[in-house]
Amino acid sequence: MESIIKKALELQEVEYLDIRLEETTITQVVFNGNELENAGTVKKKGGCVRAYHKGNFGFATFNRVEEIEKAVKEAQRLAKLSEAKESEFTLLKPVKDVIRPKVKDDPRNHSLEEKVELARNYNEIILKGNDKIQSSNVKYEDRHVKIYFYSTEGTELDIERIYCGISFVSYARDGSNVQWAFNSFGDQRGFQTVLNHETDVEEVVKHSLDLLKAEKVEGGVYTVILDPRIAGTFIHEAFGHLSEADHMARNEKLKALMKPGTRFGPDFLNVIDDGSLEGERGYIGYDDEGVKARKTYLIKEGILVGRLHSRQTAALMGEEVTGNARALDFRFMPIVRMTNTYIDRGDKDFEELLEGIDKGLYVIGALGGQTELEMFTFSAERAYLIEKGKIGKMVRDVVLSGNVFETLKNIEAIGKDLTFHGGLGGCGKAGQSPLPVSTGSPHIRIKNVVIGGR
Amino acid sequence: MEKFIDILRKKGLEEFEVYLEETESHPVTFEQNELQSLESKVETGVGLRIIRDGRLGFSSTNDIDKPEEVVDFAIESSKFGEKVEFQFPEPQQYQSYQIFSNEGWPEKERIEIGRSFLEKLREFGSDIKIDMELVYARQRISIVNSKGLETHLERTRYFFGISGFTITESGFVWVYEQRGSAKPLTGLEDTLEKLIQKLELAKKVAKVKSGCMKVIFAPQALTCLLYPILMGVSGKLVAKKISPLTGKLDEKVLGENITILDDGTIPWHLGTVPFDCEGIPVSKKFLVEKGILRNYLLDLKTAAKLNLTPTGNAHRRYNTLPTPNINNLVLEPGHWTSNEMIRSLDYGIIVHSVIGAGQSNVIAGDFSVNIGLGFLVEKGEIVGRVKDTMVAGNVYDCFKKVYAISRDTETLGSYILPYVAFDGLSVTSKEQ
Repeated sequence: MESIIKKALELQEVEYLDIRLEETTITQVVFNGNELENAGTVKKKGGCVRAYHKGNFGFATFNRVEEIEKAVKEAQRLAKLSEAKESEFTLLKPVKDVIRPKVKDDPRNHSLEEKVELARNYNEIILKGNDKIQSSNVKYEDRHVKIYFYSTEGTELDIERIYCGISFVSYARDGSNVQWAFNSFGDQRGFQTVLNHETDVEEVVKHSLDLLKAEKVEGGVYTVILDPRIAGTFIHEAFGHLSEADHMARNEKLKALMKPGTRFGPDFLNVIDDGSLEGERGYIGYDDEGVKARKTYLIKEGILVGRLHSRQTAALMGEEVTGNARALDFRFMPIVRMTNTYIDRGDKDFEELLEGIDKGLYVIGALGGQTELEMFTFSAERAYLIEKGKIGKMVRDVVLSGNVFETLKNIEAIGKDLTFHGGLGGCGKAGQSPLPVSTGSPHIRIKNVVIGGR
Repeated sequence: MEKFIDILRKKGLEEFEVYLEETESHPVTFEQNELQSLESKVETGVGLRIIRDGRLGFSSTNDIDKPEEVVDFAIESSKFGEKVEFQFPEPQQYQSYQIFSNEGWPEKERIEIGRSFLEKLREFGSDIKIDMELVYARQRISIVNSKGLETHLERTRYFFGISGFTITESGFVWVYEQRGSAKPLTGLEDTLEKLIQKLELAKKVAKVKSGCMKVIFAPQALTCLLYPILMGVSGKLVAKKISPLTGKLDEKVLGENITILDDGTIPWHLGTVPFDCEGIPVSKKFLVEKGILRNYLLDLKTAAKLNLTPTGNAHRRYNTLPTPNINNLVLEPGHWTSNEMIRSLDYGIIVHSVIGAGQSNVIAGDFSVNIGLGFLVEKGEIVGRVKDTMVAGNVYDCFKKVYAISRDTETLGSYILPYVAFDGLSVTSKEQ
C-alpha cells in the first residue's frame, strides 16, 4: 500500500498534495419493535486526493486503489483550472506516526450472535415495560476505521479507530398522545461500553411513560439548570460552531467580534476543544490533514482565547494550526470541525445551583441542537419545574433558545461534575453528518433563557 | 452485476435482489466570496438483499471486485433477519420520464457564473459574504431480482445553492436560495436579487410581544411544519402504530383547504423517477386531499405489514435498506399572492427560516423553533426583523387553522411549496 501511495505522490505538479486511503467495517444490529430489522456487516473502502495550488483546492475520490494515479491527475487538473491567487496554506514539518486504538475489549472479538442477544435483551426490557409501550428501537453499532494519510510534505500516518455504542428508544402511546424517551452510550473504549445498561433501559421506559402524563411547558423566560448532557449540547451549539475559523477567516466584521481578549462569559467559564482525549468519541489523534490533535482553550476565565483551525484558516488568520480539519469519510474534503468540546468543571454542588431559584426548570437530556452562530436552539428530552428551590413535576416539549452574545454571560454557576457524552450520533455541517464528536459539561445554571411553548 | 448473480445462484439462493448504484458528483464551491474548491467524486456500490429460509439478509460493499465476501455477509445476516412478509416484485411496466440531460455543465462555465455573481455583489457595494455551490451530478441505478425484474435508469442533477451572511445592526443574518433540476438551470440571477432584498429588510429590528398571533410561513420555513406530516404518513411509523395517522385513512386529519400530493412524475424535477429503489412504478397520488388522509408512503415491507399496495416510495442508498419516503412533495397552491397575504396582516409575523427544526416530538406533530429570519408585520407593512423569538405548536392543530395559501410557489429540492398563513400560533419572545 505504502509504495503505491508514494508512487502516486511522485506525480506532484502542485504546491501540496495529500492522499487518504480508508477502509471501514461496520457491524450493526437494529431492533424495531419486536422485529430484528438488520443484523450484519458492511464494508466500505476508498480514497481521495487533495491538491492545493495557488489558492485553490482540487479534490478527487476513487473507489479502487488502482485508480489512485488517475485521481492524482484529476485533483491537480481541478486545482490548476482556476486563476492563481495568493497561497494561504500552512505547510508543516513531516510526521511519521502510528495510532492504534486502546480498547479494553475489542468488539471484533465478539460474535454477531452475541451482539444480537445483547440488543435483544435491552429491546425486551422495553417491550415488556408496560401495556402503554407501543414500540422500541435498539441499535448496536461497532465501526472499525483504518486510515492511511500521506502528504507531499513527507507526512505518513497509519491510523486505526474502533467505535462502539448502543442506543435505545422507548415509544409510549396513550390514544393519540405519543411520547418517546431515549438514551445512548458510545465512545472508543471498547465493547464494555455497551454492557450492563439494564437499569438505564428501565429508566428510559419510565421516562417515556411519565412523559405521557407530563404537560407541555409554558413558553416564557426561565432560569434553567442544565444537566451535563444538554449543557454539553448547549456549549457545542452556542460557542463551538462560532469558534470554527472557516466562518470568520475572510470576514473582517466577524473577526472583529471574535477578537482574542473579548469577554464572552463569567470568570469561572472555561471552554475547551480537545481531540487528544483518548477513548472519547471525538478522539482523533491526528486530523484529516495530518495535523496532530491538541487541547485548545476557546474561552479561558470568561475571555475568548482561541479557535479551531484547518491549515487554510490558520494561514489566512496568521495563527497556529489546531488539528481540527475533519472529513466524514474519503468522499469529503476536510473542513473545520469540533472533536471533544466541553465546559470545564466549576466549584458548585448541585444544591448550590438550585438555591434561590424562584421559578425555573431543571432540564435533562439532549435531543439535538442547531445554530446560526449568533442565535441557536437546543432541545431537551424532558424537564422538571423548579419552584422556590425545589424540583417539582415533569414537563415536556422543552426547546431552549439563546443568543451567543447574551446567554454565555448569563451563566450563573457551574457544577463540579464534569461528564462527557458520545452516543451513536454526531455533528452535522456542510452535508457531512454524523461526524463522531463528544460533548462535556458539569451541571450549569443559566438565567433568562427563552423557551418556546403554549 | 452478473458476477453477483452468479455467486448468489451458485450458493443456492432462490430469492434475491441486487441493487447497483454508480454516482458521480462534481461540485464547484465558493466560500466567503472566493473560489474554494473543485471536486470530482465517484462512487460505485452494491447492496444485496436475500431471502433465505423466510428471513431477510442484507449487506453492501463498494468493493465490487470482491462479490464473494458481500454474499457471505448477507447470508450471515439472514440467520438473524426478520421473517419476510413481502416478495420481490415481478417485472413491471414503466413510463419514461424526463430525468436525464446530455448537456453537462463545464467547470469553467460554473466558475464564470460564480465570478459574475461576486462582481454584481461588488457593484452593489455590499459587505455580504456569499457561499455558492454549483453541482453537476449523474447517477446510474440498476435493479435485478430473482423474479426476473431487471431495470436501469440514468439521471442527471444540476444544483445551485447560494447563501449570504452579513452582520448588521440587527445581528447576524443568513439568507439562502437554491435551484435544482434534472436539466441545465436557467435564470439564476434572481437568486442574488432575492438574497439582497431579504438582507436589506433585515437591517432593522422590531420587537414582538409574546402571545397568540397570525404567522405566515414562507416556503423555506414551511418545510419544518411538513416534516412531521411526512413522518406521520411514513409506512414505517404507521406499521409501528406510533404515527398519529395510524388507522386514519379516509378520515379528516387536516383542514379542508389543505391538499398534499406526492408526485414522482413531474418532468425534470429532482424527485422524479420511473420506478423506486425496489423497482415499483412511481405515480402521482394524494397524501391528503382537502384535509382527508388518502395514502401512506409505502415500500414493499411496510405495504405487506399493512396489507396495502406498495406506492413506489422506497428510497435507499446502496449501503442502506429501503425505507419509505416522498418523491416530489406538492402542497397545493391557493388563490392569494404572498404580497396580498402580507398586506392583509394587521399584526403578525412572516417567517422565512427557522433554527431547530425537527428537534421536538415530531412524531406527535409538535414543533418549537427559534425564528432564524422573520419579520414583524404591522398594518400590512414589514416593520423589522424579529429576533430571539420562538414559535411553537402542533402541526395537526395548526393545519386546521390555515386562513390563506399563496398561488406563488417556490421549488426547494424536490418540494414545491406556497406561502401558508396560520391563525393563532403561540409566539414567545423576551418581551412579555
